[in-house]
Amino acid sequence: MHPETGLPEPRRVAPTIWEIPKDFRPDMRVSARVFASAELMEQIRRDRSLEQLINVATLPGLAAPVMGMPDMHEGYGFPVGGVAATRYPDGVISPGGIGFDINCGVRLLSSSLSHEDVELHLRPLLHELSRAVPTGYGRGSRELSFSGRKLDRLLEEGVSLLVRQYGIGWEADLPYIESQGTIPGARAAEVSDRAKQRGGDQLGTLGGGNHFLEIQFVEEIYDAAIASAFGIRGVGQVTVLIHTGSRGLGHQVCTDYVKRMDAVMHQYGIRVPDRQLACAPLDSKEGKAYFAAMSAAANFAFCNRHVIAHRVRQAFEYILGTHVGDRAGDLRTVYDVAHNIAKLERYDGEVLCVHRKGATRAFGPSAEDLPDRYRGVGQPVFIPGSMGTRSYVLAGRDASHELSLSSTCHGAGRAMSRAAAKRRVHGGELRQELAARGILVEGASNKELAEEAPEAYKDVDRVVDVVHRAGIATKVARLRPIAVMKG
Amino acid sequence: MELASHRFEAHTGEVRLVLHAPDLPALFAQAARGLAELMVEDADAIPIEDRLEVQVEGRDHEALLVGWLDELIFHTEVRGNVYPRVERIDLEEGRLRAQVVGGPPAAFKTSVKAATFHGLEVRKVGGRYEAAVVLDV
Repeated sequence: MHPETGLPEPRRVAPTIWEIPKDFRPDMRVSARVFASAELMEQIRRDRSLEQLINVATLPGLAAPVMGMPDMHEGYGFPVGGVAATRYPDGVISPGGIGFDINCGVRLLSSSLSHEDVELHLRPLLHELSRAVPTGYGRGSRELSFSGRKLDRLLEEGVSLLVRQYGIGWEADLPYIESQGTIPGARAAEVSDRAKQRGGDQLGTLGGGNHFLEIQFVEEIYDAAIASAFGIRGVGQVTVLIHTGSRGLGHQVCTDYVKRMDAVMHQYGIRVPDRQLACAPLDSKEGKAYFAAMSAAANFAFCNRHVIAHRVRQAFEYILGTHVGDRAGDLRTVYDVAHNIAKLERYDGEVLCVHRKGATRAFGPSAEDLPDRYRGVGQPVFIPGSMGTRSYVLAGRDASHELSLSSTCHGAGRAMSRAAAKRRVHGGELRQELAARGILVEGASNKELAEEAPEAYKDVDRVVDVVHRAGIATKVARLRPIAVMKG
Repeated sequence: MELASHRFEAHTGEVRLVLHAPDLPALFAQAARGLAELMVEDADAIPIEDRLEVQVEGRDHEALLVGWLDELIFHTEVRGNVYPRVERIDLEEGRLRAQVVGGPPAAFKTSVKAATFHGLEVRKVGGRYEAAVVLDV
């Protein structure tokens, strides 16, 4: 502990691994492990994320150390970039350990187009995308509204329903979505009417905050064999990255269940150092109901990204079809992966409930739950940088299973508050700077642009370098944005 | 008597709304005002078009405050309106009833997903009430 601040001083146990022992605070049930370089640890220590990670280490039923990823920053209850695994079924599940944006995640599409194919058509393409994919607060979709039994089926059946019943997207997309776009055990009856009312017309919408849709091209390939398996064939190839989640539906599910668990956890003898960590045993009435509702919200998020991907294909066809022919809409799903979710996974023969909040699953080549094409290769992981900076494609490694509960980072991670970013960055100048670097931006005011400025985030190169060096995930390719639609 | 006030404090990922008020009803009304100011550029410019009866239950003041803000966030999302003004607010043990007034903004500034319990404490200090609530944005 630091003698003046009282804050924990993690011990470096390996070049990229730091530990806070279980005896640091009497209420800790397990130790805390953080993946970081010295520079990133310095940034992490500037906010309350380590204290929050220690609070997570007090939850009942933890089966392994709690983990902090290198992009970790202060959240509420759980830090963003935190991972915790509880025993199933007697450990707890905490809605705050998943967050309000249930199954916020990313989907990467790879095209058969080159940078040259699209560069002259970027403005109309971006305009068409902004017409087809609503952005901003509460913005619903007039064309695709789900309610009643129709919404309930979607929440339980996930993406396969969209493909098979509504003809949205391709059958070939399904294997390339985490859990094939349908989390088993989802139950619409456990999702409140309010949640359904809030999100029913938001399918195919980006939302606000740090969500975005980005057209990019491959700038560098680090591992040609893995890249090829992922459908990333060469430098200059155009890709599209979609980052959004379960919209108002997921937010309301979390709101409902934090409130419910806060009201009942004392009945289970549970005390938490922060009420946002409210939780209940997985096998309790509340725990089972939340898991079923969270899974339904996760299915909604997979469907949301799927509808957006469908509209991206349509927009590419509409704008580029006359120039490049059938290749225009040929945008294949590389993978769709969640970074705010709890999943049941097996570790050393034991089923654990792995909470990932701002962390991505990173299954290695030997994992069973991978499409055939990625067996022996590893699960694709996408790490978006801050707006206008590069993103990375990685592949999970088998070592992640033991090292990090098969988890890795999810982005650059904020380093500065939105208010501080607005004070330091002039949005208009940033827009000009981005334009000068060949990056078009749509859907953001200058103030919103400043909030998401690259300076407000950690350096994504450093974040990715840590997980690569730690052996959690290997660098496959680097993507550079050319057009950004901000949520 | 000093009036109620609010301010926004820096938080790496989210927004912390700090409230001060002479009594609990004023604290809750100030929370609604702060939320509206976070959501839109000019809360005073919100037209009065929608009058809404709101009821929230909670086991203590903290749960009531989170429930109150979540209620307003829900109505904003489904009705497209922002509610900066509170016309009536009744607080009794474990329950809040209020009438809020608002309307559609010209544009939204920040999307607010939910209010959180993180570090939340409604405190009485020197005869006045204060609280700090982290909002997920």
